[in-house]
Amino acid sequence: MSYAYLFKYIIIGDTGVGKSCLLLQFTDKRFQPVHDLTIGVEFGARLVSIETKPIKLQIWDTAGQEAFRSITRSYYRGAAGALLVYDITRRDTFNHLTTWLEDARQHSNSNMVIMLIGNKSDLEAKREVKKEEGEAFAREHGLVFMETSAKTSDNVEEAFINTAKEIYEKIQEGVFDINNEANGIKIGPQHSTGNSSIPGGNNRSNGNGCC
Amino acid sequence: MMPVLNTILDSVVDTIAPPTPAFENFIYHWEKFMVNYLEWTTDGQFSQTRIEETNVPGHLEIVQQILICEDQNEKTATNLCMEYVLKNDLFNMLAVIAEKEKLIGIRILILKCMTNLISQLKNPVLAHQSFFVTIQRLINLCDSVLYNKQQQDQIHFLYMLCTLLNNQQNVSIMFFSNESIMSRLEEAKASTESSTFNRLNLLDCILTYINTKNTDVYYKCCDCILLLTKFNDENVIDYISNETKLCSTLSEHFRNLFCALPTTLDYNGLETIELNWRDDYNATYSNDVTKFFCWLNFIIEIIRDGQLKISYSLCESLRLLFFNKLFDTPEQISCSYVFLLKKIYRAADHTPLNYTINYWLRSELDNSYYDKQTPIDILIKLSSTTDDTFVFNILNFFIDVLHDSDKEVLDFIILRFINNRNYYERCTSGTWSDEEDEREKKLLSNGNNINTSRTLAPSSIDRIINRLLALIPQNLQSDQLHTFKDHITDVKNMYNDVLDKCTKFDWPSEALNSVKINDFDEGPFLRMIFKKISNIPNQNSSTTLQLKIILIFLSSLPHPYLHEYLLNSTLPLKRNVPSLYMILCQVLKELHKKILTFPNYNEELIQARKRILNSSSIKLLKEKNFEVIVFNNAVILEELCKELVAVLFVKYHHTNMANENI
Repeated sequence: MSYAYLFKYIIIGDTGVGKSCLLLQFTDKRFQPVHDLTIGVEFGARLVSIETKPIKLQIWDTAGQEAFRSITRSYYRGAAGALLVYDITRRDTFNHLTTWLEDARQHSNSNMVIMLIGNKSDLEAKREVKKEEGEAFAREHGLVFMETSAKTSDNVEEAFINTAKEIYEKIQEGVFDINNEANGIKIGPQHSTGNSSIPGGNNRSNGNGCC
Repeated sequence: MMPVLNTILDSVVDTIAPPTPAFENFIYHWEKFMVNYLEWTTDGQFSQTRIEETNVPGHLEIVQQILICEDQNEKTATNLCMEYVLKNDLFNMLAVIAEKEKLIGIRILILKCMTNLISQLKNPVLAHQSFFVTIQRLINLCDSVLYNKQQQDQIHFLYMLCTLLNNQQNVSIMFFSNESIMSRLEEAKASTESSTFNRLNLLDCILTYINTKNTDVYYKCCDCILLLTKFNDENVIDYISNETKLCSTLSEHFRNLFCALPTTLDYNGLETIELNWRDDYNATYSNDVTKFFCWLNFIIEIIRDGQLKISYSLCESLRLLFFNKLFDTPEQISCSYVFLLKKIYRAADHTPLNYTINYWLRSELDNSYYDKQTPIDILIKLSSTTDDTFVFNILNFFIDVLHDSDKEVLDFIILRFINNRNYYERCTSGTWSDEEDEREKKLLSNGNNINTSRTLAPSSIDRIINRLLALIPQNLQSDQLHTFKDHITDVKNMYNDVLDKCTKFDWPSEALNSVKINDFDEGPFLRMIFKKISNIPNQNSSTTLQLKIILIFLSSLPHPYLHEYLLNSTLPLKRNVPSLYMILCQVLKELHKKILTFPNYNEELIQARKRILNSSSIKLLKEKNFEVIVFNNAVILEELCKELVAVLFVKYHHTNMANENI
């Protein structure tokens, strides 16, 4: 449970591009072919290791539907990394990237690392967006780029971990003020005893009776 | 099994061992809570035990405290516990336990626990499905009809939720969108066997409390409604207007309260009273009248302060469910009906409801008795009654409607009947100056300047004024000076107000002959007014005073046709076209005759003058002495003539200055 840092991530992008599936693949290493629409936000966490340091990724998966956009916006704040996802088999999801990026830049802190992800790379036959186009977009806007497949798990691990590496490097360079939680980074607890002020530490006596 | 021994053992353990880490403590108490609960409800049986007799509340309390504490110390502690809760859907388990309520009192315990969480967590992740679905399931359990005894706790939960959403309005969409409510509730429904699973949205659930007998619950219910109708999210506003029962429930409740009112009302007491739902309502003790007026005040507050779209929907629903049903049966329409209508009209002033009522007043009704008649038509007909109070209320209502100066209503009541100039006799040539005026009017009307008008400032103004002043015979004058100058300041102020309102109406500046010639019909309203003026010698002086107010207002409108028809007594009128001037002549002649039969009429007139100057129409209504009424009426007419002259004078000077400037 102990970790050196906790990074908050947010996953954004049009509805149906595979945001929740990416998260599920990353946290549970499984793929669900039929996934309900995400309503509001969902959440997942995993411990990874960057340069031997344990780092906890706390990932907020958002709804892509327009109606929930205002909720999504409130999660940009306090995120250290964002995965901006489009579907390589649907051109419109790629075309909307600019809007998503504008939203992200407007509502997040300026140092947030954004990883552009072209998902569903397993569906080569249905591809509508060339890899080069994704690369060009990422270059133009200063993003890191990768194509992934939540189905085959191709590059999924890398996408999350590379983003974490980038954030970690920024910390080393002193770009991030790790004491400011608004940056989406938290230093891990020195020891895992938690907080002594939490009630109930001595309250087990309440739990008597039929135990 | 052996509580005492357990307690001792636990305290021994606590003394020896260091404090348990929060997360482990959390897991311990959660598990204990579950084990305890399951033991009491072995094999899914309903237990007869009350929850206070078990350890279930104790463990849940600690679980709740740890979560709140973790949240408050977020900077120093991790949020492991909350992560665990969300990841493992613990809240949802609580919701299921609450729904099944196999242990007496567990539902309200869980409701209170969730209320504490949502009100104390710094940033409860309401949008997270584990949180939101639980809350939505609990909302479904808070229907006031089903669980009447726990109203206080239930409405408190709903109120805390509304307050929280008010502070985090972006999350409100979770509770007001089809996607979120339907999809998740389907899941919830599938996972419970409960066949009576309601699907209530937050607002509909709150609306079930409007009939509560508990004042605190009532206030919270109203406050929740006010909060929700102010949310500033387009999707939420649409959902509230279209998908919730807000508008229909509020309107129907209004109608129910209206129908419960006593058939006779104390008009004196209610005339000036303005009840406020926050200060004057007591759900346990208020009577029907208070309930009605407080609810009116509440509805007006929503219409005034709520989101515009919601206000409009509510107004429309009031029109359909309340106003349209007012004239369903003719027997219902009573004096108090009209009085209440007037109170509602006044309360609605400066809100969108004002527009709705004006629209309703001139719309044809679709019912069996008053088919195709408008409320205005019906009220005009009803005003022919001999019941003085009824007439008084109808005229009072009309005074308010006229003063509101809604363009369409003015057009419907009067202007559409006279703006064709069919009253004008074209064949008779008037004086040289009248002909000159007619020529000039055509020229000026091309300029299209609203402020310039030969109709409002005719060359024959002196003659018109003198004729009006001469209407009152010298021995009928209660004031020997017989001057209109005292009225000028008031009339000037009134005219400026009227001009302000009417400039945007785009009325013509001159009264010109239309191409078509038709028979003249002054319309039911003016007919009613003229009839009542003719009847002045035989009727109550409160009516005369009301007629005076109506005439002065109509005269002051900057509408050329209405102006010349009512005020220009030198205008040649067609045969059989009623003329205000001629009617006044007749009435005064009759009054004159009556008054001269009293020996000391001079003194009586002076007394009447004093009475009138200090009286309101409601006081005059009570006067039953025929002699007093006659003298009162004479004085009111005397003042009417002088005021009409003042109106002519003010309008002339206002318009003439503009005419000269061009």
